[in-house]
Amino acid sequence: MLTALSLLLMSDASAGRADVGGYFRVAARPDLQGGSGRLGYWNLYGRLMNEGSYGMVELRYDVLEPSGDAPWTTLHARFEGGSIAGADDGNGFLGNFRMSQVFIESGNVGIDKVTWRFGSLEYFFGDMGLYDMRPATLFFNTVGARAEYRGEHAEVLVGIGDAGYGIRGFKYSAIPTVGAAARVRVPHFEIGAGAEVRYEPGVLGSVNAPYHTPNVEYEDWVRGEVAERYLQERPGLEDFFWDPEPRRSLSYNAVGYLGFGGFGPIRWNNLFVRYSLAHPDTFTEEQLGGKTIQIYVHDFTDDRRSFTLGNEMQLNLVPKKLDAAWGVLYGDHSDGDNAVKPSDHDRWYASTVLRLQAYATPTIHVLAEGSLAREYSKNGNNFREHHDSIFENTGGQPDVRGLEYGDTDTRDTMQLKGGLVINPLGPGVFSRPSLRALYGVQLSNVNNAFGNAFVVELDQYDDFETVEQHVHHLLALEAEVWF
Amino acid sequence: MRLTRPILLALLLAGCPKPTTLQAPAPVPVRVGSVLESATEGPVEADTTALDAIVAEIEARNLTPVAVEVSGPHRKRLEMLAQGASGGVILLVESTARYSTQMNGRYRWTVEVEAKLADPEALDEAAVESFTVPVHLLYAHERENDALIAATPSIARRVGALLDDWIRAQGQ
Repeated sequence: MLTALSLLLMSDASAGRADVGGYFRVAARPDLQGGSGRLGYWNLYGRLMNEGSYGMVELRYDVLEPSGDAPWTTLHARFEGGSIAGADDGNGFLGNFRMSQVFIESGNVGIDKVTWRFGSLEYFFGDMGLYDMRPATLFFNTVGARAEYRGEHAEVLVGIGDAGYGIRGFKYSAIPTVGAAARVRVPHFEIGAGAEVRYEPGVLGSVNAPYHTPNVEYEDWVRGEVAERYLQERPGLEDFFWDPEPRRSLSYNAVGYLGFGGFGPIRWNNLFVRYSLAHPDTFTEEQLGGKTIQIYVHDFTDDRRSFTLGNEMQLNLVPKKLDAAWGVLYGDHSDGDNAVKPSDHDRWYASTVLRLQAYATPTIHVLAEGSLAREYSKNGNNFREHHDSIFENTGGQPDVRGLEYGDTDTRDTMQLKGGLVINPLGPGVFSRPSLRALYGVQLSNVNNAFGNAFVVELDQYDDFETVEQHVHHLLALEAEVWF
Repeated sequence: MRLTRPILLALLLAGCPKPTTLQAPAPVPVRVGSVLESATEGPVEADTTALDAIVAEIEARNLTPVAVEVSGPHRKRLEMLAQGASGGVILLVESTARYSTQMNGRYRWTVEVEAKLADPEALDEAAVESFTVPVHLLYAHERENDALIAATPSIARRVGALLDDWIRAQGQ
């Protein structure tokens, strides 16, 4: 599909110019300890060796090529996904890919230096390359229109659109979104801020609009026992399950950014901050008297807040000999509706990653990276320290009906990675293409703290024994390229 | 200890002699100019990174570079290079940087390059090398000059190939 569209655009080049760009990442990481080829669970410990394969192709077609003050317009279409044949369990099938962005931009129309964009609106203030995270991102799920002024000392962006499909998918309900961002730049410094607000109105009669089912207890819902409890209290009344009540949903993101550099050994430093109220969910389903019922959960999911702080500094320690990148990430998530079950909405985490890259020659480098991270579950135990540890409540008592998991509320992770890197384009921590032969080791208090296929139940009739491992070794042969 | 040998081997291979660069039979002067433009804003000030790399390519071929500051429209730039030339050739490298889009954490730019190598007495019969170099910058404040710097290794290599063609043509 990608090739066909590429050829289609390229063959039509007489009407305008086509440009193909993109990114690929592929790795062989044979895991001899039963893992799936990633050193740890996620890129909180640094993206290196914790991310899988990835492919992205972006096509740009100049319908009217930029030229001086004349109007111009270009089409952008982006395909991406996380699978390459032989490198992951998706085996490169196109079902792993999606057309993630399509937009048409036009400039020099109406207002000088303003670019109009219709289509996908995503905008970010910058990147944390060590983590592959962009905390200060706006309009991630939004399709609509935006106007962007790009001057030498300032950028201003205003956008409006609909995030309904991006957030709801096949449960689509319109979610009008409006937002703005601004960035001011002087030599060696940048500062920026932005926000977006999403509002989902109630639409009486629409099954996908926001509602809440009354009389449901939060704990029954998270246990999936709403129907069971209903029948216990109202035997024979299966056909009279509570009708949902309409609601209106609101969510937002507020982001800030500070950048500085170009003095001393600091090439550049990016500081990002984000405060978010997540958009409420719609409904879950259970079986009641042989029928599927919808339990609308607006009031159970409308108070999920998160605060994220990230900083990444790129340093030229010894010119042409040694560079470094240092990152710090902190996140605090709170769910005001949930006081009973551990979840990703009720936790905090903190991490730091340091990467050093020494240049043996301009094209052959030695890489070393270390990371330290702590993740803490605010609603009790969420991790398992031993293969045979029984489930405990936070008081240390066994609790087979409990909503907690494992025997600890804290996961501590340390990773060390290192190896040889071939960078044909020369020095630079983020210079690509990059061909890497790496060894990595992870130490965690949690048992088997990486994707795996081990038996975790303590059932005497299981065919396989449980396994306890806290140290994970991994070798990697991997390549990464922007083009 | 087990890793020591492979590392030493890799470093040894890295130090292997590169293929010999084609040499001109005589150190002919090459008057060279480099210009950077924005696709939408016109000429942009550039530092000497790209020009230095091009000069190094010229020197590596036993040619004598003479850097000349050029400005104005395309034809005038060629004429400024040709002015005062006594023998030798002129080399004009014009780069146009264009911002494309934010792409998964990077800022994609393209640098369109046209390199012209000509006899100062026959500017209309120049050998031309046109190509586009994509670069993916890390930061929003990095603009046309940073795109040119990132594209410099590719530009230098393509300009070197243009010089090689000219040297071969001289020997025929």
